[in-house]
Amino acid sequence: MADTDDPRRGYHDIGGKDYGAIDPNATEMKPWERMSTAISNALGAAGRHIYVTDETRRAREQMGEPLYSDLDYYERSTESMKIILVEKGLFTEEELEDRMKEIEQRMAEARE
Amino acid sequence: MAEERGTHEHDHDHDHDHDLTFQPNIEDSDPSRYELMTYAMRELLMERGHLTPEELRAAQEKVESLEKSDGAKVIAKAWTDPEFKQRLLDDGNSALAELDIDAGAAKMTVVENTDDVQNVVVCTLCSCYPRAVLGMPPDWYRSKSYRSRVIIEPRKVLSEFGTEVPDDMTVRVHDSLADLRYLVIPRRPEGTDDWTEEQLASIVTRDTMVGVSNPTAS
Repeated sequence: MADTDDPRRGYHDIGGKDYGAIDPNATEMKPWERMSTAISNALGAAGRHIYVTDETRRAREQMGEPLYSDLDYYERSTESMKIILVEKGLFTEEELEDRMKEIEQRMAEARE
Repeated sequence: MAEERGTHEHDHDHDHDHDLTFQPNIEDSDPSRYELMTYAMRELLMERGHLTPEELRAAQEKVESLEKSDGAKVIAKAWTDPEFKQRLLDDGNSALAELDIDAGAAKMTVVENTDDVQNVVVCTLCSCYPRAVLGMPPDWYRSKSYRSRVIIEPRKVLSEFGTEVPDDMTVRVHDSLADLRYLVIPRRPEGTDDWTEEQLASIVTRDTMVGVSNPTAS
């Protein structure tokens, strides 16, 4: 049997470990999850070719174990897309955080 | 989920093109960090010409269409047309292209369940999945529990899905990669000899094409 605690294994490399019981329920995609997937597809290999799948996979494997474990699937793919787009200079972290605050405010106002 | 983030002041002096400003459907709850990030990326990318509204709409339609997957039709055709099945097993991508299904750049390997072999698909490293045929992967396929355990104790995992594999049957677990995807042709149940392709497709579920369960004629 493979040594599942081999320190050379990346945190994403979890085959053979035991993460417990499987919840067989499947949920529908949330609208933002669908949008994030669509943006990623439009920019990726089948679209503008700004990046290829292996680059976002690499970002997932480098984002660090705490964040990787903390995020769910679509959060992880959104985070990895962000890492690559910032790396490629399409926008900066600060520009993105600023815009997120602005949108949050806009949505809060619209709810009132 | 990580919601904490330093708050830095900034002024709102940049103009927005309002055609590009996104107004999501109003929800009762506050948006999550990654929901906001998605909307913010969308706006910045559009303002800077990296994404057009048309491109995004087309990509969203594509994701929605994938959610209603074509996989069952592919399997029903494979069950009723042995030559098609052989082409599917020989070269998944080009056989799927015959049905106007673009399997994408990754190699699509098709494996067949027989009386002696039960095939099961996983992606231990992430969640690679044959989206072109099966749509988006279900939650359990993406879960650490499934990814970690199915390669080491597949019979136990299958039994948790209600699938008991006889001891004399081989279980083959296929670990997917970014460049290599798998699709399982389930065993055609007995008593379906006179069924139409449409009837056959109706018993082929997503889980049977991942290999964690088997179709039944009832």
